[in-house]
Amino acid sequence: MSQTRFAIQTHSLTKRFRRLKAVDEVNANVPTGSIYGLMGPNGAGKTTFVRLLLNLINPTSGSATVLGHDVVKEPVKVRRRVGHVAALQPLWEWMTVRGFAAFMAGCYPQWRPDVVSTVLDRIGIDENATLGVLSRGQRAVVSIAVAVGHQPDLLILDEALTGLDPIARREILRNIIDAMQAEGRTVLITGQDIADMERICDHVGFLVKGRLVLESTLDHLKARVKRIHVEHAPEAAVDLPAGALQVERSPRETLFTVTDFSPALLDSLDGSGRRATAADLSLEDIFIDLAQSHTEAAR
Amino acid sequence: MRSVFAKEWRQGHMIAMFGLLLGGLVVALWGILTAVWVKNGDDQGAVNLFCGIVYLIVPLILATFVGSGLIAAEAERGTLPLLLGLPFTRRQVWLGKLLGGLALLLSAVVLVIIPGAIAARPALQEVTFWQFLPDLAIAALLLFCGALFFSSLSLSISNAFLGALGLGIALVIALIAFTFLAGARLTPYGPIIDIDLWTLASCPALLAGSYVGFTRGELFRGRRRWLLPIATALLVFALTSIPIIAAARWTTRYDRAKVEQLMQPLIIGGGHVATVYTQASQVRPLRAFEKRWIGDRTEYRSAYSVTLDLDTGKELLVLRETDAPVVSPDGALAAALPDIRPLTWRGGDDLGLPKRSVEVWDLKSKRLTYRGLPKAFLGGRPPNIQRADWPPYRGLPQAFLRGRPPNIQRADWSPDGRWLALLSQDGYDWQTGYSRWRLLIMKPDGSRPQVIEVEGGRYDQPVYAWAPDGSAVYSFSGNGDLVGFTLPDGETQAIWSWRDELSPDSHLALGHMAASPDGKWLAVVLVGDSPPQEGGPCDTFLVFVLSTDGKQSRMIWSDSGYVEVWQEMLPILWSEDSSAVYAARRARESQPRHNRVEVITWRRGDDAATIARTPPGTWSLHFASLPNGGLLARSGLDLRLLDRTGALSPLTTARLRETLSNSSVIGLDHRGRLILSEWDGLRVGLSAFDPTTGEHTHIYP
Repeated sequence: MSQTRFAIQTHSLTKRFRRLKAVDEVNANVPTGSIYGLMGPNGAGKTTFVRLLLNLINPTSGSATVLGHDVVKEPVKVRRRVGHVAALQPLWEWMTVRGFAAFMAGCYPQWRPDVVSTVLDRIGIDENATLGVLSRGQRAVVSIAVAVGHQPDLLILDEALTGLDPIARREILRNIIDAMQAEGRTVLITGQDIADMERICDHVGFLVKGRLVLESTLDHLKARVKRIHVEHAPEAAVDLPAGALQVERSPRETLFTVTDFSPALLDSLDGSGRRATAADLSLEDIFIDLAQSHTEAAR
Repeated sequence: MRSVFAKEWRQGHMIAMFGLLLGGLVVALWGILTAVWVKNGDDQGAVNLFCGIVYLIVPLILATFVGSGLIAAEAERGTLPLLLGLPFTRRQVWLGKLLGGLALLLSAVVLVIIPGAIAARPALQEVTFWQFLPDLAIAALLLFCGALFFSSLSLSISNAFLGALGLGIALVIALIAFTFLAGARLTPYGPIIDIDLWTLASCPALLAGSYVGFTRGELFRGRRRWLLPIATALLVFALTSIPIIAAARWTTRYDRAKVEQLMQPLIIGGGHVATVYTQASQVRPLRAFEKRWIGDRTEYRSAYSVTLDLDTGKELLVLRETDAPVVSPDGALAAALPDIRPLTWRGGDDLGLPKRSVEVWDLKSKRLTYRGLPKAFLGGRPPNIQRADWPPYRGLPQAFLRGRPPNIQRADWSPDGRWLALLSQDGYDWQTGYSRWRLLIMKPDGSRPQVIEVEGGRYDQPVYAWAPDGSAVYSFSGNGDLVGFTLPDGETQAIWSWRDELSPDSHLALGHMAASPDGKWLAVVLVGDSPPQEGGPCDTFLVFVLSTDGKQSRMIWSDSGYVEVWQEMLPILWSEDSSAVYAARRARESQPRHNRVEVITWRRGDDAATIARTPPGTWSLHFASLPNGGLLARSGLDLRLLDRTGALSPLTTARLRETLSNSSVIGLDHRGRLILSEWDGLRVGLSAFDPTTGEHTHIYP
C-alpha cells in the first residue's frame, strides 16, 4: 500500500450549516505515522471535521484527502483503511460482542479476529455478553477493539476515550496506540483530555470556532509557545510583540503569551530597566490560552 | 450490502415471529368467537368477516413497522453513523436495508398467513375475504415503501420512528382519499383495484425518494434534504403513473369493435340520436385473480352508455358508469346521471344508490358543461329509498342511503330543450301504489332552479306533462287537483280536479298524462280499483280530455272492465295536429297467450271514442310518429299503422319480416326509417330499414 507523507491533508475544508461555519477553511496536515491530537473547546468543530474526513457529511467547500484518497470521490476506500470510534457511539444493543465483531468482520476483508480478541481479553470483556448489558465504558472498549480489527492505517478516536476508566484508558493507550505507532500507522485523537494528549501525541492541532488556529509538533509547540514575564518600572511601558495573547498588565509587570518565541524576542524585551523571562507552558496552559484568546477575538 | 442485509434480517426476525404470534392469536380468537357467537345463533359469516379483517390487518401493521424502522429507528438509536462509517457506499447500505426489509416483510406475511390458512381451511369456502389478499399484499407494500420513504425524511424529527410511522399511514389515507374523493378512478373494476394501481405507481416513487434522501441528503443536519427526495418522488410518480394510467385506460377503453351486447336502445333527440347501453368485452383482465373474484358479475365487462348519430353511426358521447344520457330535443345537449360507487367490503358496485348529481354534455364539442346540482335541490325531506337493513345495504353509512341528496331516478328535457328536469322519487307506498316525486327543474347550466312537487302515478311512475313550448308543467298536486306550474316564475295555477267530477271516495291513481302539440289540451288517464290492492289489475279505466285553462273537461272513456296494467302502463298520446287522442291499455283474455292491447281513439268533435284491438298475443304496444303525421304502433315484430280512425292496419311486409328475422324495432328516426336492434347469434348492432325503399343500412357498431 502506497505511503503518503500526510495521512490526512485538507485544503480550505469548510462545512457550513446554514449561518454556522462548523469547519472554517481548515488546512490540516497530519503526517503519516504520527499521533495527532486535535484539541478544541466544545463546539469547536472537531466531530464535524472527523465526519468530513469519513464523508459522513459532504463539505461545503474545500477538499480533503485521507491516506491519499479524496474523501468525497473515494469514501469507501477511505473507510476501508480507517478505523473510527466516536464518543459514546451507540451500538446495536441486541448484538453480542462476538456477533458485533462478526458483523464487522463481514465488512472488512482484511479482518483479524485475534486482534479484537486480544484487546477484549486484556480489558476483560466477555465476548458472549450482549452489548446492551455492558457499561458505557465497556461499550467504548468494544468499539475501539472492533475499530482496529481490520488493522487500519488510520485510527480516528473522536473523544473515544471519554468514559473509560484509568485502567482501560492506559491499556488502550499503551497497547493499541503504541502498537500502531510502532507499526508506522497514524492515529488521530480528538478530545479535551490534555494530559493524555500531552503524554502520547507527537503532533497537535488547535481548532477554535471551526478554525485551525495552530498546528505543530508537540515539541516545537512547546518551544514556540512561552509565557513572557516582564518586570519594569511603572513609567516604562512594554511594547507587546505582534500576536501576543493573554496579556496581563500591572504597573510594574506585564505578562503575555507568545506563539513564536525566540531568544531574540527575549533580548528585545530585556534591558532599559526591564527584565524579561520566559516560562514553559504545559499543553493544557497552551490550550487554554489559545482557546480563550481566540474566543475573545471572535467577540 | 450482504452484511447489512444479514444484520437487518437478524435484527428484525423477531418482527416476523411476532407476526406468527399475532396470526395465532387471531386464529385463536376466531375459534373462541365461533364457539361463543355461532353457538348463540350468530352468523358464522360475521365471525369470519370480523376475524378476517383483523387477521389481514396484521401484515399491514408489520409492514409499517418494518418500513419505518429501517432507517428512522436506526437514526433514533444513534447507530446510523456507525453504519455509514462502514466501507460501503450509501447505495449499498440502502439496498441492503431495503432487501432485508422486504425479506422480513415477506417472512412476516407468510408466517401470518400460513397458520391462519391452515386453521381456517374447513371454512375457506365461506371466507370470501381471502380474495382480498392480493390487494392487501399491495397495500402492505405501499405501507412499507411509504414508511421507508418517510423513514429517510424524518430524521430531523425528534421521534423519527413515530414520524415515519404516522406519515406512512397518512400517505395511505391520502391515497385512498385521492382515489375516492378526488375521483381518481382508473378502471371500472372497483375502487380497490384503482387503489392497487395507484399504489403500484406510488411505490417506485417512494423508493426513489427514499433512495435519494438517504444517499444524497445530509442525514444529520440541514433541512434541505426534504426537498430533493420529495421532488424526486413526485417526478418518479409522474413518470410511473403515466404508463399505468395509459395501461389502465387502454385495457378498459371502449372498443366498438368488441361490442357484444346492446341494451335498452332508445331513439331520442328528434330521431337524430340513439342511446344504447353496450357491453364491450375486456381486452384482458388486469390480473388473473380478477375473474375468480368477480365471477359472473357484469362488472367484468365494461358497461358503457353510447350516444350515437343515427345518420352516420358516429359516436357522439361514450360514458362509463352512468345511466344512458338523455339528449335534448335539438340533439345539442345530453344529460347523464353518474353512478355512485361507495367503498364497502362488498365492493358497492351494484347497489344502485341514489344519484346525487347530473352531468350535462355538449355533444358538438364533447365537453362537460355542467356537473353537480343546484343547492336549491339539496333540501327537502329524506328520500325513503331503501331500507338500510336490507342485506346489500347493511352496514353502509346512512349518508349513502338517506339525507339531503335527492333520489334522482332519471332526467327529462322540456320539449323546447330550454329546461332540464330531474325526477327525484321521495317516497312510494307499496300498499296503495301512490308515490311522491319532485321535479327538479333547471336550465342546462344549473341556473334558475325550480322544485315542483309531483304526484306519482300508480306503480311508481311520475305523472306530469310539459307544455310544448316548455312554458309550463302540468301535474297533480296530490289530492286529485291538476295544477299548472309556469316557468320560469314558478307560479302555480289550479286547473281541474277529478274529485269534482267523480266520487271523492274513488280509489283512483294517475295513469298517464299528455299535452296536445298545440298546447291547449291535456289528456289524462286515471286507473283504480276498489278496494285498492297491491299490484294486480285495475277495474277502473277513465280517460279525460280537458283544456289547459281548466274551463273545459270531458270524460271520453270510462269502463270498469278488467284492465291489466301491472307490468307496464301503456302511454296516452295526441296526434300531431292535436285532433285525436290515443290511449292504450293491456286487456286480459281467458288465456294469457291471447292477451291483446286495446287502443282507444277519440277525435275532437266526435261524441264517443272507438276501440281497436291488436291480435291475440300482444303484450305491449309502442307508438312512434311517422313523417306523414300517422302513428306507428309496434309490438315486437308486429308493426301496425294507427290511422286517424283508430284502425290498426298491418304494416309488416314480407321484405320487412325477412329483415326483422333477427331484429326488433326500437323506433323511427327523423327520416321515417325503422331503427332495428339486431342480434344474429354472432354479433349485435343497430340498423335502419326504410319501409318505402326497402333499403337496409347497418348503423352501429
